[in-house]
Amino acid sequence: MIAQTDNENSINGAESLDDIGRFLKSGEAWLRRRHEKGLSGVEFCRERTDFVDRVLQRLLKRSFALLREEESAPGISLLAMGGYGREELSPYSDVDLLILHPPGKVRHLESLLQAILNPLWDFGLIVGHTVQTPRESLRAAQKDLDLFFSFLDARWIAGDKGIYLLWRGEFEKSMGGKEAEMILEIRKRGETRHGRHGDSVFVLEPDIKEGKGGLRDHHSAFWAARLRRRIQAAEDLPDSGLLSPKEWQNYSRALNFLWRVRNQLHYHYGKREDRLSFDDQEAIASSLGYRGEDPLLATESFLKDYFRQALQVHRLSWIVLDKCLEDETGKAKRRATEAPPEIAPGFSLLHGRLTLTDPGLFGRNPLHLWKAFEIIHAHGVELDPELEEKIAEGANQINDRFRTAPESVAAFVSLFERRGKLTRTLEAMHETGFLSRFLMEFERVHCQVQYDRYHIYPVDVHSLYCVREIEDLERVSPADGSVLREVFREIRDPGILKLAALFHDLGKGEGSPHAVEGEKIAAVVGKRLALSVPRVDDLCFLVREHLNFVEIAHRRDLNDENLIFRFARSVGTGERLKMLYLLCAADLRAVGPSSWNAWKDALMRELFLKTLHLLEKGEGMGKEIQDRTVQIQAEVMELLRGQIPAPKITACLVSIPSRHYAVYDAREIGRQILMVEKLQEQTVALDGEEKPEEGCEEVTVAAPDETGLFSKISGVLTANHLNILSAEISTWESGVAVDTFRVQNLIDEPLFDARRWNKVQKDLERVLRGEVSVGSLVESMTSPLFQKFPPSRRETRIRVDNEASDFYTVVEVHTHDRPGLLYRVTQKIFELGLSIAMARISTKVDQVVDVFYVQDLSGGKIEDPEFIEKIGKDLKEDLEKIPIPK
Amino acid sequence: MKKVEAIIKPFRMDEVKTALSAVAVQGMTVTEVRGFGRQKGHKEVYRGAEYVVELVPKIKIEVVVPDQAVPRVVETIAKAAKTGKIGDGKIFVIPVDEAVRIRTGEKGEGAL
Repeated sequence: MIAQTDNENSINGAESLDDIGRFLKSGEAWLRRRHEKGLSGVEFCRERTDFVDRVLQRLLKRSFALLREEESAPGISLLAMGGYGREELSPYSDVDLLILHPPGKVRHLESLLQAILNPLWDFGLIVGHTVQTPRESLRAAQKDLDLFFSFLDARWIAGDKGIYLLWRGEFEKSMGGKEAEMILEIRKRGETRHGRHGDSVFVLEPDIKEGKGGLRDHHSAFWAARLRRRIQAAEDLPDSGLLSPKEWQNYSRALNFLWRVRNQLHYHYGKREDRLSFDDQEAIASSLGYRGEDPLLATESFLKDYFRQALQVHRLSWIVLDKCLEDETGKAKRRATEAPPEIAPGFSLLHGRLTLTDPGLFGRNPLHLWKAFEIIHAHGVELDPELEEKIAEGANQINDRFRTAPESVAAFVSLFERRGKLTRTLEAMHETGFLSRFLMEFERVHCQVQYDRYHIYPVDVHSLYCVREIEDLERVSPADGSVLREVFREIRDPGILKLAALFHDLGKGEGSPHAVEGEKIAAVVGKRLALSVPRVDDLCFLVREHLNFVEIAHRRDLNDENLIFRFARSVGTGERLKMLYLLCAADLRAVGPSSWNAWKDALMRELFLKTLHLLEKGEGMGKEIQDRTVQIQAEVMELLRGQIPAPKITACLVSIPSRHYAVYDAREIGRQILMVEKLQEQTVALDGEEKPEEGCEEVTVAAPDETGLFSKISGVLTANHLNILSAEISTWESGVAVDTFRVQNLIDEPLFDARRWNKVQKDLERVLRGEVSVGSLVESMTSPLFQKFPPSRRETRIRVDNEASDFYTVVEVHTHDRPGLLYRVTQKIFELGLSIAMARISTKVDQVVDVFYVQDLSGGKIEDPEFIEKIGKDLKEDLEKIPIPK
Repeated sequence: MKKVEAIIKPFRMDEVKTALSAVAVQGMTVTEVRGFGRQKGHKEVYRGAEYVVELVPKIKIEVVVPDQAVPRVVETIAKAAKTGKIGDGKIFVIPVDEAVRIRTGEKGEGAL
């Protein structure tokens, strides 16, 4: 046992522990300062490794001195394992040691170990150590694969170098013949590991070590290359032919980046932590120099870099791994057949991967690149790494002539139009860099991240996933009850929908609303792809509106008919609506696993169906009606100029339901607006007009809307000896009801004589103010007038229809005409607790067909079947009680 | 302390959120939920196939506030969420025994 007190420092001239500790501390502080100034990740890890090496060398020397042993006791050797062996020490990485010693009893071994290990712990290093004889350790590695792999990283630090070399020779011998098995194991472990970490480079909280594209991918590649090509360090990769010098350059740059991030992570948490947790991404980005006015943008740009580099690491490390595997199968290939059969000129399939049999194919004519993609589209095959490289080389040659060549454009567009493996094809295009060379607009969103918890994937990946979602709908299984599939089957141009899926987010990262930017981009690309004008229009429409649809579905009141009406108009056709709905559903489903759920599904389907019903019914949807509306609005503005301030007119015009414009002309609407203006001072506004050519009078009433209003007005009109022939009632969004009645005067006194007109006005005011009940007014009417009605006994029929409208229950009353009928019907509807939003009252000779659009007091349709039955029964009973003129 | 839990119509969410911020409610939890009350679900028909919506989409807002703030918070939510129609939702008030701010370890109303 060696006591570690200062006064023993001088024993046998051994170095003071304090000195060694200070050396390490000052080294660490110095490294940290350099890290903060931007020291590269690789250099940091190397230098830190070097510091720890020197500490260990000094500790070993010191312990030998304390034990009065020869400086290099034979057989004792200190080896660095794992990451330490690979010289990859981040600030809080484990320091793994293998201490080899000769077999049999070793003098002072215990004390020696303590003299080395205890100070390391005191210095705050996290040390893992194994003490074994060479034979023991080699045997253990045969049984434990983790150990086996960590031995691949072993590096001598101090002590007997001879024993290390012997050990290493033995270990390499033990690898013989097991390479293929071990590399397969590495690959398998890699896949499992990726599975545990979301199986995507693009995850919300990437694990910089274990995740896809993390450092462990690099280790796997290194181990495979070490096994197969016996390389000693990662730097040997280019010389071994596993990576081209250019690839190596990209690879080491990417690793450098990952290490730098990892070093920062360790400093940030003050411990070993390899996960970029969401909450700390902003702080990490900022410490790594990603700063700017908008910290979110800075974080996004950091993540974009991170994902790009992780993608590189993943791609290149797996190329190395696969090449190491194929060394074996390659031998088998040469033994088996000489040349696999061609599946297209210049191409063949080998082990399910597409390979190039004619290496000069793309060089002679780059348009042959399309052939490779057509094969993937048709057969869904993977590319062999060599072909991948060839395509990547070919992609670099792409110029404007290639982009606009009719063959290119036709080949690209037809991938979207024909059924096939589109997503797989686009992925291959993307992975080889072809896609962003051909569609330069795509380059900008490459790895473009949105820094929030909601968007998991960067824009490029998300766009491909969105295409995949659409493609999934194409695989129709008839029994599948999804409305999305049903809708997809009905659309006529799936190609445009798929293009829209690829393009819908291309406007991201520009600052302004991305749908607006995206529309501009879609227009440019659509034109370059030689799409017809209507198809470019559809494409632009889909890109422009995709946010709007979701916004309305989730944030607006879908029971608001005017809202749906306006939306339906802005969409224009059922075909467009269907494509938009499918795009939005695919978009959400492609955002991430939790972004699509029954909640969003229900609201989006509701908006889709309600809008579609309006469009299919076509009422007020046509272009003529729209033009008419605009025309009327302009005329009304002109008519009322000077009478009412313009903003007030505009507010009124916007508040008028769309249907209203189909019924009235500008002069009538102008007068109605003037009436509505009067309501600021009076309870009700009245207007009347003779219609001599129709043999009747027209009465317009404006009043603040209230339940039962229609019944009150018709009661007052009845009490004033007016028979209602027809009525149009409409409620403006500002909460005013404007009702127009065509009436037949039943007495001789002209309606518009001042005395009589004033009485109508007075009665209305009194009823609406609640000063007199409309019922008593009607009862007090003594009417000798029934004689005017021809006797008739038509049966009264009531029909309650819930299918006709998404917003209202429609009640149809068929009966024979009688004075006071409308009052009775509307009064009964009021008593049943229903409110009337629209009514069409029409009389043909003695036959009345009254149609009421009603809602219950909750503002919804009547769904309860018992209540529906009651409405029919009560109305019928009540109407049959009205006396029939003899 | 009380937890005020409100089930509201999705399109009233922004109004409620704004109104709550205006009465100095510091934080809230918002969840997309589905359910039914007196406003039963409904049926949608597309090309003859029926899609029954038994559970109506709603938003659940949860806030925890000191006792004396409860009436104001409840009133604010009720006012902002009201459309006057069936399905406007419900508000529940539930006693809360303890609150802890995890970062600092603060407890009670100080942690709200």
